Amino acid sequence: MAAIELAPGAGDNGLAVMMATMMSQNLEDHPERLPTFGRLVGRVAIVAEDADVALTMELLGGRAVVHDGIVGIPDVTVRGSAELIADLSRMETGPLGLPDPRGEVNRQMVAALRERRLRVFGMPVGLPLLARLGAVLAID
Amino acid sequence: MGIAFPSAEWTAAFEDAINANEGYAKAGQTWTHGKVAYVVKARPELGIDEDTAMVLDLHGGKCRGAEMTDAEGAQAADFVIVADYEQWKEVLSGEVDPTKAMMQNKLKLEKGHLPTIVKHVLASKELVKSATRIDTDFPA
Repeated sequence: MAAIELAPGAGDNGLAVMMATMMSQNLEDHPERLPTFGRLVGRVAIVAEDADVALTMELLGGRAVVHDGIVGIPDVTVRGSAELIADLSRMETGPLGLPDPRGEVNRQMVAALRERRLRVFGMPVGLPLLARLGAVLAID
Repeated sequence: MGIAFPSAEWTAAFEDAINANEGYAKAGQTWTHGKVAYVVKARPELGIDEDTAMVLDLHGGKCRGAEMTDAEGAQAADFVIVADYEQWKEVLSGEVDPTKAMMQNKLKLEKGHLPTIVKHVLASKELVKSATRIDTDFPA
């Protein structure tokens, strides 16, 4: 079973609880994703701007700690509305586990990135980390 | 004068509103995951003497039934979402998006599979839209 913990104080952060639960339940449903989870190393921050809530996922290769707010220096930071942040998990996966460019949610994401409603910092260096995290959190 | 929330009458009106909502019929088409309970925490000063729940029997874009029960009865549902009266008022009147409310820890998924809820986020929004069409009398 994957070790996913909430850091002290993160239990009151709904976004942190959601992400920790999503990760945990997804890995339970898809044990084939465990090797990808094992390769996740780094810090990813997510900010739901309109909900005024943020988290940091500290990914330690087979273990994850979800913190309330921005903790440490994130390798990747994703900022957007609560709706767009929730949609990140709904992105459609195509062959090789990569995002399917024909997917409806994916096209909405591309438009949001283009219009700067969704912003990702730490690219392109953080791309492998973000792609792996996306593969673990995908719900399709 | 509207229909008092929460009440058996409001619960019945919610069922009718869901079934009259074409948006829900479409967005909820793939929902075959069981009953959803909305639990309103007790607020004796508003006449809500004990935790009160509305259990919706949702299936394939329709609401097959809705009943008002207590917190114990709600536990028979597959998904249980709990919040204070004020938070339900904000969400069910359309003031606050349900996803945002969950990220802010205002709505809590007490029971159920979160990835399934996130996958059906559009259906959740349509449920809320249905609720906003009810002439509701919120006690405060």
